Amino acid sequence: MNDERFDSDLRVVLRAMAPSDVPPELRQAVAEVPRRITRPAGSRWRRWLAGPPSPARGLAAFVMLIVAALVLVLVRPLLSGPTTGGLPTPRSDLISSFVEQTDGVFGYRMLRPANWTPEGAGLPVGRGYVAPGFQGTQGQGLVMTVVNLQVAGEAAGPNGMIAQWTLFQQHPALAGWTAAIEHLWTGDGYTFTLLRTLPNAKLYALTALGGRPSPVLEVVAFAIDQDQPLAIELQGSGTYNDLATLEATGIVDDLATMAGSLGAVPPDPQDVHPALPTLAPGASFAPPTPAASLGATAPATPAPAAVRLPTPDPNAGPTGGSVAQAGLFGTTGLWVVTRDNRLIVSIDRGDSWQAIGTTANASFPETQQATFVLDAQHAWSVIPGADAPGALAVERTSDGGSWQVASLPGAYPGATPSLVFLDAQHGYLLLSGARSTVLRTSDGGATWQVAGTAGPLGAEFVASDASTLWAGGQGGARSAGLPVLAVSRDGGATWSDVTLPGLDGRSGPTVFLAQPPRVFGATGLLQVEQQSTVPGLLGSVLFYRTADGGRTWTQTGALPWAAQGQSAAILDADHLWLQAPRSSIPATIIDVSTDAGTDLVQLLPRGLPQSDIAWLGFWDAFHGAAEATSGDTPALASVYLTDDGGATWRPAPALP
Amino acid sequence: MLGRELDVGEAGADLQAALPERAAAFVRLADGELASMYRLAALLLGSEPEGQDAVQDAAVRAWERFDSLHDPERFPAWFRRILVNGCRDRLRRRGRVRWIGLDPALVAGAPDFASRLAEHDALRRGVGALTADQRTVIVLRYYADLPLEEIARLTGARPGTVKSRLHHALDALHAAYDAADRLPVEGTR
Repeated sequence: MNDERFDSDLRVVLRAMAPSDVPPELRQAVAEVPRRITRPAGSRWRRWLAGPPSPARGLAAFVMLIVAALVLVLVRPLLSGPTTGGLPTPRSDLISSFVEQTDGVFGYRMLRPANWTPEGAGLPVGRGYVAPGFQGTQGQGLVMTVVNLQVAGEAAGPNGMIAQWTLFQQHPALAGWTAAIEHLWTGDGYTFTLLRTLPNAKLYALTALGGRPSPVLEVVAFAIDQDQPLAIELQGSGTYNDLATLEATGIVDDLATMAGSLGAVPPDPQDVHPALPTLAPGASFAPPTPAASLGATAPATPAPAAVRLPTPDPNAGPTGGSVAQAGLFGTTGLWVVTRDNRLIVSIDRGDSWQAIGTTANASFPETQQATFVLDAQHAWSVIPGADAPGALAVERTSDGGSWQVASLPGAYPGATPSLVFLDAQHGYLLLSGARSTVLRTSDGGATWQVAGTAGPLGAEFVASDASTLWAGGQGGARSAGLPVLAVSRDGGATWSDVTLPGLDGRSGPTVFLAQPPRVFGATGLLQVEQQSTVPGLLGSVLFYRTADGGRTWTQTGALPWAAQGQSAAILDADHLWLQAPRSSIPATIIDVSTDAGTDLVQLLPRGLPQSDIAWLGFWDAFHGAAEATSGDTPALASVYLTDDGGATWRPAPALP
Repeated sequence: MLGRELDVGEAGADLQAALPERAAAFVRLADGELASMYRLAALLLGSEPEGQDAVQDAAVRAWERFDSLHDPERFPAWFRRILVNGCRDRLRRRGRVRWIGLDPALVAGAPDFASRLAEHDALRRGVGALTADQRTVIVLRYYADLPLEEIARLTGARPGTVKSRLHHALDALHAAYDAADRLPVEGTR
């Protein structure tokens, strides 16, 4: 082996892989940072000014000036005309009259229905107004949310997930902006109709996602005022989940009136007139009690769920060492591997800890991410083998303290290992890569035999019974023939692709399966993320359920505008928790479903840091654990615990 | 109300006065590092568009903290740390997805070499197949030429962990490289 030549070749290849030229738009964007971020001490809300990279940022700035001039010249007289004289009369019976509302909390002014109930909290990014007779989105009624997307974008920060805001920064004129939104909708599989075009606004109806009728009809108005993008979202459920009905009642005309009156005001919580319910500091969205959110009856939480950003709890924070991996075992077990390679378990749902792998230094390399804990005595971890490049070994304990090492047959350079054990003796190890290998053991990991080989398989690996194995990962056109999900029903000897309706796993948009499916006998549940076809924008999370042991899967629901990198916990074929960065909500939100993802209830978890949740698990409908990172870099990850289905969280005791 | 500026309030006026020279200094320093930072970010993330995003985020963060940097000489290392931390956060955010390095821009788009084509190709593919942590340590060591201690500091890992990651990543790359080496390829010795 020629190490010197290898070293120099590696350097050459890396240099060749690096892009050669800095894109001019990046150079320009960086040069504009000081001008756009006018306060070096940096309040977060100013970072939006820098915005994400845009190929046409220079042009955009110019267009913004033109639009600003146009808006001032054209729109202001139109707006001030009718609103200063008599107010327009609503067409719909649902609206008694209009009232001129200025709402500095959310940065908008508009003609709003006088008899609709303002939601004190609304979305964290906008104001909710609920029509009389509203019975929840599962029932019957109309609810409206008004958002100043710039104010929302400020709140979301530089990594904000507000797609409409991102698009506006790239296309700061109404025509371009709405065209980009339409493009996004098309890519995401929405069915939509353009209902009205006003000088300052456009109205759309979104009627279906992926060909499935939506349980809620959304009529959305996008408007621009003073270079700021604004939106009104009207959701109709029950008999109002019908565009013809909405048109007939005149509510679409009324929405057009409201959209025409929509304007931006500077954010100022004091500037609200007429007065609306105030947002008391520290007041918080009351999450559904576990009984309500996990019970048999459909939750009556209105949508948009009444959530707002909580005040960060200064006492909540990391405790003890930083967590690299975590998982559940048994009915009350929890394990973590720390960044310094210690395996620590709890048998009482995180209330106390015991270290069972503190001695072996390199036992649990973070890069491998393959640890399986069966109980407090039995654990396995894949470690690099000593013999040859790509050689691997499995380290095991059967008494929660002493460890033995067994080498694996063969070498698997570049393979990603994943472990599952059915009991203390029987387990499988998947080495996924371009060529994948399944090994099995029937003596607790002392010896391993090749159970089968296959082509590319994803590394999200699980066994649903003694001989049924599932492997999922990345699918779609860019993944070079990787199946998003494959199954073996003969202990890993042969594998076949699993068909998920509506997803073209091999040639469609990129699809990620971030965790393996959970199959419980006949029933099972899985969730996949479908990337947006527009680069840089958010995709959707889709939920599938099976009733025949995973032979066929049916889509049960979808969460649009969810970013990649979500964490999910599946308890059984009905209950799931999902934390996904979202387009419209800058806070950490946990979605809970009790019906396999058909209906999602939003929880605004209290006691969790406002950051990504790297891992989420539930022992039952009430008790769960999460690995969350604080915002510092390098991030400190800690374990948090909940006893009420995810509504409130507390830090786990410090790790030993 | 309509005429009110969202951008700079009254409190910002005095800051504005001192801004131009600081801003000019920042832009000059940032621009000087831009090419190497962009290449580093694109390599770390395996994606040119995401590399652009990361550099721009890092520039915003750097500007916000620019007043804490007193010695312009330290700007390159300081900026690089902000950038690598940002890339690490991005990698971590997608860590659970087990990104599979099949970005066609990296696998197919790189220029060819007349000699040792097979080995280079094997290395390119090998780098694309590394885990995020392995890729990070390989890029920082073999592209950015940073010492192990600096890599440990940048990535928040212990030097021993960095060493084992590097070792494991090199094993994987070596295996791919040596396999290609055995193929008869025109132009090799």
